[in-house]
Parts: sequence; C-alpha cells; structure tokens
Amino acid sequence: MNASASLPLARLAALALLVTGCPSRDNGWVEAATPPEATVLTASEPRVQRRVQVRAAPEPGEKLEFSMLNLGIETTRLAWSLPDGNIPQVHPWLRVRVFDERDERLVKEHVLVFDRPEPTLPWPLSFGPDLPKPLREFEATYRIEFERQGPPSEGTIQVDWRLEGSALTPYPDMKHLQLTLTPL
Amino acid sequence: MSHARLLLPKPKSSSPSAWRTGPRAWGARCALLLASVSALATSRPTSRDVQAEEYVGAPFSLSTQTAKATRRVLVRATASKPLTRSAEGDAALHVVARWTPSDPSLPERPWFRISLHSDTPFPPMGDPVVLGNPGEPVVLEAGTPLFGECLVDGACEWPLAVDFEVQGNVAPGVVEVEWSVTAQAHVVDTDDLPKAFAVEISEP
Repeated sequence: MNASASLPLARLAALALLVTGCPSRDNGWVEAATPPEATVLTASEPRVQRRVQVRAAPEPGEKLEFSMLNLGIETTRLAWSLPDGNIPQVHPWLRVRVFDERDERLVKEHVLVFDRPEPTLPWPLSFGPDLPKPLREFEATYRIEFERQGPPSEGTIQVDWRLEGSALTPYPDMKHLQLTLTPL
Repeated sequence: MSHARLLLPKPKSSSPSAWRTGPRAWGARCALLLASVSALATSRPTSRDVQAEEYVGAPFSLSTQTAKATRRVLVRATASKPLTRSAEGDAALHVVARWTPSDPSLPERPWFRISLHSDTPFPPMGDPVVLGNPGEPVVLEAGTPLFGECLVDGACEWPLAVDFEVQGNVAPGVVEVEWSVTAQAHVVDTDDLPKAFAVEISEP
C-alpha cells in the first residue's frame, strides 16, 4: 500500500479516536453563566471592558478530572438607535475582543457592521479554552472588550450579552464539578 | 464557498473556534464526526496533494473613495500527458493591509474585508476586520475549495476572483494591500499521481 492510499485510513483512525471522546450517557454537563448585561456604546464613549473570572474544580472531597471546557459570549440582542430614525451613510462597526489575562493573548475577535437597526445576531463567540489534557482545576480571568466605530458614525449601540460556560464531567448527575463565572 | 478571517495569534494547542459552547453543540459536533467517519469509509481514492508555488500579486493602494478592487487569478493543474481524470484541491489568500489616513491626526479606522472565490455574480464576502493605527499591519486569510468540472484541453483550470473592500464614506485615506495566493490539488479516482503533475497560479 502506498503512502497516498494509507492516508484515508490514517484519517479514519484519527476520527475514530476523536469519536470515542464524545459525550455518552455516562457523562454529564455542568453549565454556568454570568448575569445578563446591557452594554451601551456611543461614538464619544466607544469602548467598554469587562473582566470575568472562570473557575472549574471538583466539589470538596471529589477527585474527578474534566476533559472539555467551553466558554462563549451569548448575544441576545444587538441594537443601533439613531436620533431621527434614518440610516446614515456611515454604518458603524462593532468589535468584540476577548483576552486571556494569564498571558494577555487575544483569544477571540469578531467584527460586525451595522447596516440596519437590529442586525442578525452572530453565533455565540466561542473561545475555548482548549485543554491539552484532562484537568482537576482550571482558573483564568478573561477581559472582554466591546468597541464601536467613533465619529463620523452616529447613534447608540446596545449589546445585550452574557458569558456562558459548560464543562463535561465523567459522571451523569453533574453534581461533582463546580463551574463558576464571576464578573470582577 | 469562501471564508475569510483575521489571523489571530496561534494558541499553544489548536485555534479557537466560533462554534456553540453548550452540550447540544458538542452533540452536533460528534454527529458530524460520525458522519465524517462514514463518508471517509466510502470516499473515492485520490492521489497525493501537489503544492503550487506561492503567487505574489502586485501590491496596490485602495482608497476609501474607490472602496472596492478585484484581482483575478487562474489556478491550473497539468501533467506530461493530457489529464483524463478530474482534479480538486483548495486555494488560500494571504493579505497584509495597512491603513494610511490622509490626515494622520484623525483617529478613524475603517473596516476592511477580503474574499477568494470562484467567479460568480454574487460573491460571498468574508467577515470584516477593523484596520489598525496608521501603518500598523493587519493580517487576513481567506480560502476556497477547488472542485467541480475543471477539465479544459487536458488541464484542470479554476478561475478565481480576489475581492478587496474598505469602508467608504469615512475619512479620506488609503489601504496599502500586499497579497498572495497559494494552492494545492490532487487527482481524483486514482491513487497514482500522473507523471509531471504540477499546479501553477497566474494572473490571466
């Protein structure tokens, strides 16, 4: 068998290994979220930052490890309000960036342009973290930055959002792992 | 199909994704993985991929008055004898953009976006990025698959369009654009690579 013929088999094997990592009835998800927040941005005050501490750890006395941790910004409403209701020529951009304060790395960036008062909501902006191996504890602080275009763009932009998280435990009843998202 | 994205610094393991975060999303991902396994089990044989030499386009300036520009490239796969089997692959666009406002004292930064796609009347555009401070480089990438009927006179050809767009109606200025395209392709329905199979990129 030549190298090119063996490649699909190698891919197949890799995918089969991945599939074995999928959740089953023996696993349970633990979910958490920050309180909903309405962030308002104007052309003169175009930037707002928030910090959230994320911690996942077993309940006291437990010794479990977790292998998946997913974090993301869920946006429930985006609105661009204009004083006279007319859409001006300059359609402002809105940029959401997430930094991991452990190393100041930019882990997520998303930009959208307002071409109407209530544009389509983006997907929840997922930013990992990728866990290289199962962990007993995870703790990190993320800085979430909302920034919009300044003048000559006009109007007020409002973002209704919250940070969501979920972790996969090896037990189905979910009570063995604590996941907390704490606004700082 | 086309996608474009801002190039983020790479994390230590793999890159962050824009997927949903909840349990339902992981269920969907696993279903996709299972579907991929099934598809691979019955997939057609292909030769190995052959990489084209990177094509570096001429740098240019795009003003906020003009706002849009298009370049065209041709990806072509050939062999020593005329190809009788179709080929497929993918192409990638790499762009470095620098914002130069006419009045550097103004703080405005427009959005900018790119797209690499088959020549279609309604091309998809990638997600925009916000340009940096004057002279600061912003790196973007986009890609498109190469597939479908491609045999033309014994070669496989994929004409592609490269679109660039900057936000108009803002302060006057230009975006200095450097761009390049890479591509790779393989022959389908056979494990054997045709003799002297090569992929090249040019501007028609």
